Amino acid sequence: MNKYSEAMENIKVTDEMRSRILRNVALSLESGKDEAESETETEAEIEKEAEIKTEKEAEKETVRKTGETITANESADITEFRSIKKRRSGAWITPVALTAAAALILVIVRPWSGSSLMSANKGSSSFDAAMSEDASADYHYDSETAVAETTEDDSWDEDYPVYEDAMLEAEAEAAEEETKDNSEGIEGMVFDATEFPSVREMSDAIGFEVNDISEVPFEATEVIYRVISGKLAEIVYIGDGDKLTIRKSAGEEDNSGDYNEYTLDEPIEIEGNKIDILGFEEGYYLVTWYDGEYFHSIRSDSPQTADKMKEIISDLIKGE
Amino acid sequence: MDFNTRAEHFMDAYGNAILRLAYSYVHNMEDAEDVLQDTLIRVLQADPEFESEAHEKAYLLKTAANLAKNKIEYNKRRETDELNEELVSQEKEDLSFVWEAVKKLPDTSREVIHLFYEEGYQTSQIAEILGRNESTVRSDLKRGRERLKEILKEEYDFE
Repeated sequence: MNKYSEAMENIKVTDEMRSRILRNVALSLESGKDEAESETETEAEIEKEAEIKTEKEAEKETVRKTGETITANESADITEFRSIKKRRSGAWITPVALTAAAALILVIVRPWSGSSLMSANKGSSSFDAAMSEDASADYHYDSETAVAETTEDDSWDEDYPVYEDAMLEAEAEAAEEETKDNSEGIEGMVFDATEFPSVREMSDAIGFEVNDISEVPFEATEVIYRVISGKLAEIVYIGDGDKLTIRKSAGEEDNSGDYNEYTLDEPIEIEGNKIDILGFEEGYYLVTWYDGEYFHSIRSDSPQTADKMKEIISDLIKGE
Repeated sequence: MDFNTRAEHFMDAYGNAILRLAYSYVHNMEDAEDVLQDTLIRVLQADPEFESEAHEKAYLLKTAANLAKNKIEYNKRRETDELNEELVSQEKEDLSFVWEAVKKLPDTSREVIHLFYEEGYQTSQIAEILGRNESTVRSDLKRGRERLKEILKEEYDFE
């Protein structure tokens, strides 16, 4: 396995990376929160992002003309788009749609000549630097070859449901081989999810009762009900830049998928359930408990007060 | 030691190790850098006291592993893998094969393989870093090695 270490030697902290990260760390500690994204974006990256958006608009139009994809830009079709997305079981991916998805993949995956770049949007990436003429010092792979990087973000996936579905299927198939030897339960499961239009249908499918909450701590514009790998029920409330995820599964294994080492842990009891509310200085992010039969978790992308978390827990438990 | 000095110390002493561990999970530089940055922030905010340099490093790697797993869990793993592209461009196909084979391992075996071979940790130390049972770590290491041999032999005709 010396070869593994030899391969890893290509991964190293460059001077530029070091300076940038230390600067971001200093800023974050000074302000008390992570401001890395807003502080280091350069004009060049803003221009590149605008370029990317223009390219995406052109590509959307190309896909639209195949007649098989409904884009989120078509406001009249958003409802239909969502209902189609929620009906998704793979059956509606027609051969023509898959061809469109394949064509999209070929368009998006740029050649390594570096003719275009979909850059990371956080700070001045070493790969953005690699695209410039004088990049070699910053490009840590000890190579003068410019490398284009494609990135996927969630909004892009939303605009291209066919691509997302095709990719999910491909990922699930590829990952199936990996999971054969991995019997470590929920932690080892790959992202194999089936969506449902309602919590009722999800509950029927998974075989146990799953509840909604009546109030979400932000304006939820979308709710997703899904069963992951046939064993984990998940409700995801999505708002503008925010997300709340509720999970329930049989057994006492932690299903949160959250491996943070939280510094705050407030144990409470609600209706006989011993519950942990976990977080950092700025607020609480995770709630977990085992009720003797099922493991429950609630994860918030944004920090919440302990009282807000308790409200959400009570809301959920009342529905049980 | 003030925060900035401490941050520089962590970066210089453990930056590569954290970056490589993160990369072994996320397979792309952007996310690996994010994990490195977030690890430094988290550890500096927590401001723990360390018994030794070994303890310090293990703590940082443990934090990095958790953050990297979060990245995978909540964001689908990206398809691009700059390391493989770079190895191929350098015509180091043998290293590329090994890296691609390691990538095919389940996450639990891969992280053990990385910490064992790249960082030189013993299984007891790996168990502590990953918060797992030592016997599980040993079996994941054994399974990882066996699987690697299969992959390298079958897919790459590699001995």
